[in-house]
Amino acid sequence: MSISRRLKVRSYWGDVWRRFRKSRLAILGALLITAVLIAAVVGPLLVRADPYDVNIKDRLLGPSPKHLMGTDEMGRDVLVRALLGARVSFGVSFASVVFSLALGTFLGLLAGFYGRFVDELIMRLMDVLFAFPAVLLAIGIIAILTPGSQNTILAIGIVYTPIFARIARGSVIQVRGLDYVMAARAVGSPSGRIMLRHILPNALAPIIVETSLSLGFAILTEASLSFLGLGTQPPMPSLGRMLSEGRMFIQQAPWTAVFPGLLIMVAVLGFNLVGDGIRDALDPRLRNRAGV
Amino acid sequence: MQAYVVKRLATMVLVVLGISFAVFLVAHLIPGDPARILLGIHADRQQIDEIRRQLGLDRPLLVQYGYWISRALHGDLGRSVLTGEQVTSALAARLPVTCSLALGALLIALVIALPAGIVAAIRPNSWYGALITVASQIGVAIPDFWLGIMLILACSLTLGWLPSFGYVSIRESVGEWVRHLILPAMSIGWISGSIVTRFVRSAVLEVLGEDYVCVARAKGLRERVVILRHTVRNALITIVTVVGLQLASLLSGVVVIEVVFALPGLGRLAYDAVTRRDYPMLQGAVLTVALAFAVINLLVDLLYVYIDPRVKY
Repeated sequence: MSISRRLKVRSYWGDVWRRFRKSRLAILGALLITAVLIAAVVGPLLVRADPYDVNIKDRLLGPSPKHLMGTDEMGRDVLVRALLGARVSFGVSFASVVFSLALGTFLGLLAGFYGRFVDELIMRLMDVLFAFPAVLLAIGIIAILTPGSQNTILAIGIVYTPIFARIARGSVIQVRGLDYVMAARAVGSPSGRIMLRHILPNALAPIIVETSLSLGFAILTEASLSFLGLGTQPPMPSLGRMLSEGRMFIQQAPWTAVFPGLLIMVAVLGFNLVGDGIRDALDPRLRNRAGV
Repeated sequence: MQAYVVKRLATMVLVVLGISFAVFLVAHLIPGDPARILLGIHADRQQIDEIRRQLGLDRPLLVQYGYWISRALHGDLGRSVLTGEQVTSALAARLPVTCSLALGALLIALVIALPAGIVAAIRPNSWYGALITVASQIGVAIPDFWLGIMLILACSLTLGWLPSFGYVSIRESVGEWVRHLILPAMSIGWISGSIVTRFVRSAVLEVLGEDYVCVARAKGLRERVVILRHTVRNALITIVTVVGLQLASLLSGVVVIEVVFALPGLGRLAYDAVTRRDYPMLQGAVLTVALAFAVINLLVDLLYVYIDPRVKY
């Protein structure tokens, strides 16, 4: 019998998963995300209502068995629109975080690995971007590009890039002086290989945590932009836009604004809880340091 | 210390220059010709060229930037393309609204966060410790404009306690000024408070594990003294950083809330300027906000030295 079978080798990621599972809040977060995602993906197929079907006769009806969440000012079913809106909002948020994750990590890797001029150039550029208030910067970018889902992805993506660049750079700098990187250099590995094979995997932990937390923020930013009319354009529903339209009829039909907002909140809460859970699981020493 | 301040100021000037150039570029990359907007769709080529010359839009971009920045340094940010109003006077009129809102929100945030964070840290396993943790998690996840709408629904439309929109200057009536600010400040203050609570809790928890807290207890000091003088005092440096960052983000993150509550502040001004393609106004508003952002960050760094004499630059 080999040693590994007798000792039951515990891998690093196995340990991480074990610690993650132990956190009740993190599991709750994962459940919330799963529930919201399933609802957003499968929900619109199950609800028997057309999200675009205008029916003025049925406008602003309260919740009933036929329309579980009531109808909006055009007589459209709020539930199906909110689920479809969630699909659009989450899609846009995911895509924008993937964008900033890829670009930010790439820039941070370059800055941290090469140092000196490259570092200065990239990081000062990031400082300027970082100095802009997030929503204002996103509004400015969308104003240049014209409103729409794709440009919202780009705008939020650019806004969050500096955070990833800073985090990636920080953890690359910690790793790049370690013995195994020296060893890889000594045997003549090319820079690209050292970065991708030796540095990146070992600098990944804080980037993963930031990804989960950014998803929550991206959903909120997307909602704000859509609320201002700069995100997803009608007739495509989005949660932020539903809130801004529902606001006009808030007194007669509070349900038009309540439900989309709750959906946003549940999703963001889920991502934040999971993000905190991953942070604690990846590095138990960080627990209680950067938040609750 | 002096060398640090000089270095820090120099970096700040560089970043602000970068910001100003970015602002300038953004405003010029926005599609839509201000000359055409000013004259309407029926204007002929000649009139448009004339206006473009008057506004300096026919010069090379770098030259335009040079003019703009030198005028800006003299306090002249140009005039609104639409209303002809001086940008600086529009900013001066809007700034007090945004500042009142941001400071009000910060006040609410601190009133919530300081006691909640400290209590959650000293009694982490109690039911109210858990409640505070959960409430702060939920608080961070709420979209501020949705909270604003819900507060309008509850406190203005249903109960009729507070106004749901608009702003009254403090010079006109202090009472009305406060009444108009409560709901918007609560909408963003609650969220800010949730964030600060989390940091206060973790900062206090960390200090509670230090040897000097143990010594203070061993000396037989009263718990109140241990917590306030030995623990919170030392946790302050983290707290001040977070509070500074919050103030900066409150000042800049008020766009949506100002739209919801129809407050005539800087965020609303920037938003209107974007939608109406009013370059000079947009540049002025964003520049002011970004400048405030940079100054607050500088002040936070300098404050460290006063709070914690061990910090040396």
